[in-house]
Amino acid sequence: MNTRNLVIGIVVMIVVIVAAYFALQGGAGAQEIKVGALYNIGGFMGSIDAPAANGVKLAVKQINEAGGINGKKIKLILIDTKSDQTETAAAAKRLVQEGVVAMIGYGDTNFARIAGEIAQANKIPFITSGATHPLLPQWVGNYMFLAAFGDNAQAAAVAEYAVKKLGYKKVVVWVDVEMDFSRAVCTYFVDAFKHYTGDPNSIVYIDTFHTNDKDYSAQIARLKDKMKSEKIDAIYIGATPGNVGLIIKQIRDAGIDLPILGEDGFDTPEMVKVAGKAAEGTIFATHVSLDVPPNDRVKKFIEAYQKEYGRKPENAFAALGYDAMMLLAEAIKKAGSTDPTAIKNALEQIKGFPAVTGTITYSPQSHVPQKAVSVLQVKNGKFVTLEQLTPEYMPPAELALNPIP
Amino acid sequence: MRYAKRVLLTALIGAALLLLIDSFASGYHMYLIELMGIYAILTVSLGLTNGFTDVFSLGHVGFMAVGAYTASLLTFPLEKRPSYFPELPEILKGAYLPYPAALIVGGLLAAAIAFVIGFPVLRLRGHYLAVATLGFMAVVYSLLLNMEPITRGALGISGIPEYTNIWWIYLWLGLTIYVTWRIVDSYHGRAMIAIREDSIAAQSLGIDTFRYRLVAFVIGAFFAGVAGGLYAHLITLIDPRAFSFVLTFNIIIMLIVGGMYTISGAWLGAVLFTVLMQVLKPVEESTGLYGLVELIFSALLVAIMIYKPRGILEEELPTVVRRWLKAGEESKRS
Repeated sequence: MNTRNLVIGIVVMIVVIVAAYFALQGGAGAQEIKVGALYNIGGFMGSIDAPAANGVKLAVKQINEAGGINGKKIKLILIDTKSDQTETAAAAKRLVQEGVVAMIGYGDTNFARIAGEIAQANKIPFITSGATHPLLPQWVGNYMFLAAFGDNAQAAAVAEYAVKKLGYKKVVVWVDVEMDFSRAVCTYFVDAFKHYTGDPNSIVYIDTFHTNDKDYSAQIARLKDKMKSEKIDAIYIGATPGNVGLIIKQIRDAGIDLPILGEDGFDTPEMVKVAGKAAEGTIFATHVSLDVPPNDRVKKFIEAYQKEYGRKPENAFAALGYDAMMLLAEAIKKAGSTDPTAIKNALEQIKGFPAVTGTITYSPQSHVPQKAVSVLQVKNGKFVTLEQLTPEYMPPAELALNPIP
Repeated sequence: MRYAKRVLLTALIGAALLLLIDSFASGYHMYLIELMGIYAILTVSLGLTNGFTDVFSLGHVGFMAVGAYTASLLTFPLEKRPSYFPELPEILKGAYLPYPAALIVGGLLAAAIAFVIGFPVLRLRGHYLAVATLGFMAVVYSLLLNMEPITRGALGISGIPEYTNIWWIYLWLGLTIYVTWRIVDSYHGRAMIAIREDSIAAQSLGIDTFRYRLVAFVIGAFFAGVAGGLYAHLITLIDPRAFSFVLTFNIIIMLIVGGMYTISGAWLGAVLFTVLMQVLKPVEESTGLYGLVELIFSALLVAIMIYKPRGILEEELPTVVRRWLKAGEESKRS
């Protein structure tokens, strides 16, 4: 009994001493700029947030190796919030207390919003690397910035490409009713497609499915039925990494050879892995093609990532994390100060910043970058860039408040 | 009424402490103390079923979710409702309650649901009961995701007014501890403990085991519902993913590590969990070994199960303190 208590006591003491040692070590020198990063490296968001966190770390390393910003090194405090919203709030409040000059984080709208609101309340800029809801800055406030384009931009880009380049006039839309992202992009796509064709009846019909469905034969049967009576040019699917491969495979197995369109939910190695040859020809929009780099910036990023982590970037979120940090560094350099509000004002002045995922421009009115969307196609199992375009027409962000169906 | 003076004194000391914390703690530390309090309400109320009555429920977070959504809907600003909930049922369009009342209604709804599902579920024992309550949690999760007119589905409810503060949390924690303690320390509590130790023997003594299990289950659910309401008005955004298996198991870990057969063990577990989590975070960050915290917690759980299967506090704190004082006297004498 007594030895047991002794052992437990000793273990607890060791833990406390070690923790105290690390906690005290955390103090930054005067010549350092403290930046906070919040990501869900553990938990259900891990596949999206872990690569993004690696992207941020890579950017910090490169900035510091190049001598830092205005002679000061960056000290990154990267906190894993484990896909737990109570941890998100705790970590954001801790960063405020640590006195960070800005925060970066998250590939999910709700997590970005919880942390963003705490940053906003303390007047600290927050750049979300991967969240794509175009209303986020409006909800949170003027210290919130998106590094990625909004969902309305990518949906409009696919609609524009389909109508102007491919000449499609009639499409069918499949929406995942359980997935907020899917409903938002499908809503924007329907609006943009009607705009580009000028035909309110250009959406033949809208069908629904669920995130974890394994069998899509009902939707396929309805599609086949409709194809008999009407001319359909393509199917637009609001699929996400978990189901995109399966859906495409089942459509092709049923003998339907209509072109398939989608958004950055398609940007996953899983699509080709699951669907195999069936994925050939699929067209989708995303942030950047990492398979076939469209320019030197992307090539350099991929090489640096490979060198640092021993593998290629897992997805576009790695590039977005890298971009968010580089963007922040640019703003600090421009501001010439580490005052959070000065950094926020400098971010609003950024014009034509050459990021890996495209050119970023902000303004005081718009904290969602107007940047080019990459339209990709699967060719021989690789994602090849067809075009990088900035859509002419942007569906109003508010549409997603009343999504289809 | 023999406790009245002591209860009042404890409450006064508690209030003084809170006043001190309220005036000196920073935003981050304040939040941790608040979170700790909410976890403590959850563990103490879960201890009533899982610890004292041997109803190993895994559905506590389900009740918490019910309370959180109910309270949030009731306090949600009326003018913002049409844009946030365009398809809200007619009854809920104008249903507004002040925050304290909304918390209680959230708790009552959770308790009512516990009462209804208690009839089939509490006829089960052991693993079967654990699985059935876990099933309840999964049902709640699925409903929250799909009842879009009311819950906004995966999007969650955002913009909930930030009403929760340290005072509300610790007032409710005090109530939870008081109620649990009065139950455990009464004839009814003895009956519950008898059911835990040997339900057949208890039954043969004339104790209605089903009724006691149901009472424990319903009261536990009420406080879980209140904790959910407090949580929602602290974080200001709730979505179904917040009420997942992770939180369920975290609460169970807190309870088991702290000691699920005592009230002091239950809240001590919550305090330890919150503190250890935050203390270990900087280690994770400076070593770059993300996931270390989970590993340490798992190891700790295994160690506790081997060396102290009844948790850190096998006896209530006052008894432990008394014993410790006595031991000091003895050693002084010798």
